[in-house]
Amino acid sequence: MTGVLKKAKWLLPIAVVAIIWYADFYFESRQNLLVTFFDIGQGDAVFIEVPGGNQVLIDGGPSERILSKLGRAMPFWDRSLDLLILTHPHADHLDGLFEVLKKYEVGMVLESGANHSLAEYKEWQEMLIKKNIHTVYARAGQKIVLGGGAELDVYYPFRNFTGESLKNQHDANVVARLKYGKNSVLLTGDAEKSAEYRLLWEAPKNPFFVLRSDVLKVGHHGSKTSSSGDFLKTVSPRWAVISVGDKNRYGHPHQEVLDRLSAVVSKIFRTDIDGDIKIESDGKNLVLAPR
Amino acid sequence: MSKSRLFLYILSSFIAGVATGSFREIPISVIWTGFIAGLALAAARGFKNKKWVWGVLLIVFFIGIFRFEQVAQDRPDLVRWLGRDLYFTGVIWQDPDLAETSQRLKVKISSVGGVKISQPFFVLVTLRKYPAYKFGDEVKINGRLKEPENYEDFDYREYLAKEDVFATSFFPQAEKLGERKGGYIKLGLADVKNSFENKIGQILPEPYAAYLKGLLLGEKKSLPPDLIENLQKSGTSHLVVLSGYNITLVGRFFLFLLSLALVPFFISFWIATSGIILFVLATGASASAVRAAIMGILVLLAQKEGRVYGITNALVLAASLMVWQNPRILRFDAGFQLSFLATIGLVYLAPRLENFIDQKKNLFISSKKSAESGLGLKKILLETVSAQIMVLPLLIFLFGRVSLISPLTNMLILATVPYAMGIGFIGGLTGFISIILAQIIGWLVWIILAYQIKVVEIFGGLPGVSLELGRWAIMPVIILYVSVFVYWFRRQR
Repeated sequence: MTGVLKKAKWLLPIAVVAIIWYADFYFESRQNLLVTFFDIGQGDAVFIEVPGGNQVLIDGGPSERILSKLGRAMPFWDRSLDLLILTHPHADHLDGLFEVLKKYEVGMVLESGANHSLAEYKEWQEMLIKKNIHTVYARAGQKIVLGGGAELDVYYPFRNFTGESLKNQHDANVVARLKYGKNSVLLTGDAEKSAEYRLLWEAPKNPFFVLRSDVLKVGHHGSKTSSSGDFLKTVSPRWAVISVGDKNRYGHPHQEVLDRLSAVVSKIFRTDIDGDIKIESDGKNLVLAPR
Repeated sequence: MSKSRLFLYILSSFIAGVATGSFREIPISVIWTGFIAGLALAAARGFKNKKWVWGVLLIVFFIGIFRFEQVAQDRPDLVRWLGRDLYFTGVIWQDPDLAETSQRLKVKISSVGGVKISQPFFVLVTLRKYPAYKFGDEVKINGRLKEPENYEDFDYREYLAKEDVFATSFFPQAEKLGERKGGYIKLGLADVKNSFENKIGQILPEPYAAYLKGLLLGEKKSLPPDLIENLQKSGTSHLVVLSGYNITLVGRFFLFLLSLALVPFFISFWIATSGIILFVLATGASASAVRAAIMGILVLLAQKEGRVYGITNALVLAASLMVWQNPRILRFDAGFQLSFLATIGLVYLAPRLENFIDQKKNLFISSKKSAESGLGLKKILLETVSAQIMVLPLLIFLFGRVSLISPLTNMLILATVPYAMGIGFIGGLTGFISIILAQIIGWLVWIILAYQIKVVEIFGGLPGVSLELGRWAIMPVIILYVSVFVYWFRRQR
């Protein structure tokens, strides 16, 4: 037994120091709002942590790679998410969420509810029922209080799509804007130009819709079906984030979108080039957090 | 010649025969000629001066060839179904192989176009990842059968052939008909494995859970691609291949725990062996796991006996039986090759290196105590270096890549691997009793795993640590090995 004690003699202080360090780093980073755009290949996955510790995941990317990303972004004992948002049930947004549902306790799910004829969406609904997760259908005008002073406003879709089968799933795509103090992030999912023009039309009439944002998650992985010039000018973000896979077969992001973006924003981040993009806000200033 | 020598030569000659058969197709007439020549040689040499041995060896050599050809020719006749759109029903025969966005199912087809067939055969079916299928599901598949095609530098046909798969089907329509078909024992083992994996998933976040599964089960599928790349670059990818060495480490961990409880070595050896068997059962008892376990137990046995000479025959016998059971593994199963070479390194090279270092004393701080418990830094380092030296040519051949930083990363990581494996295994088992208790053990393992992954990432991320060489690099390495071997052999005389 003495052999073990001898070893423990040097192992114990190291472990204690490591744990204190870990805790210190961890709680220090909790003072601010953190938004991370995960590099999960061709797909979307955005992770939001608000001051006070509530966590939101928007889409899960195309594969179980999301688990490794979450496992590292969250402390090692944490196995729960407060809010899960599915913008629309295409595989590059949905598939990773199956694994998330299996491994994490999810407080609430927000989705458009539009029916999808693919077997994947059926399985998703079955899992939600089996796990008995409270599901809310997104409607423009909803406000979700995330705690710590952060809020999430739902901007799209404008009507209830529950049970409807759509030709283009993007027509029911959930768009939301994250607010924290003076800072804001517009989260578009795969919203296309039709949604953008609808918002441009609604915004002047209704003070709930504020399009101007500091950060724009560029719609539909930088496809030319999204990011119209008018929309970009109105949002006029400082930073744009494109969630896109390296050498994807769709040719995302399209060059014309990149051109339109560079006319408006000061910096374009791309997950295929920059990896995970982690943005930190104290309510006044935005900084790019070290990964 | 002693009897044990004779035994060894006969087995080696069988393996050599299988090897010959797997590189060249030998016509049956040649094999018969070989048998007759062998018989003639044995008879002509006479029974007195034991020269008849040569004849026997020749016969056994051709038995090896015969065994390979026999298995190679035993393939189902699929010509009438290939390339046609048909529907098939069958049962998923093993756990689905999961890729990032797809799943591959090995399906045992029992009826084609609604008609039951007399000779069931296997098809590898690739589907989208969801909905997920399970081992034992009965499925109806509507699609086209294709013959597997070889890649540019990879013999995919033979790779599948060793699993008895001679046809594939890409993204057909599939429909589930039933569940839990197939043998109860296999289903039960798969259940045990799945629930063990689930427990690990519950007590650890990703990618730590996937990495621990890699260490324990050799399951690489759920590892994130960037981690796999870093493992390769830092020269530590051998950790996540299920080999006899991993099994030896698990066994060694049990020995270590028992030695703490002052259990005599003789008893603890048998407990450790039972532990390994339990481990293999918990991991689903796949063919590769069973092979690795046999190798692992033999290494423990060699170390228990304290002499390596007695173990040679057992090792070669084990290898021969495995090769007899499935002759294709000799050439086409990297897991078997790695396992066997690493075992040779552990059993033969490690003690010699240890002697060598003991002669040049104080090169390392030698601690007798830790050597006894079998988890000492020095011992583990020596063993790893030995295993690595033996598998290096094969790794170059398989990946065409050499990690220059490998010795350093291995030195930093390896001493902690048995703890990670042992505690992780116990953590997974504890999960069956109490998930809260298992969770606490999980935190303990997390610290070790986080350290290992950090090291792998730091060193794998350094530029220029890994050289893309291409397969030609195997030649100089082999020449080096042969010359060292010849030198050693001469000096021992």
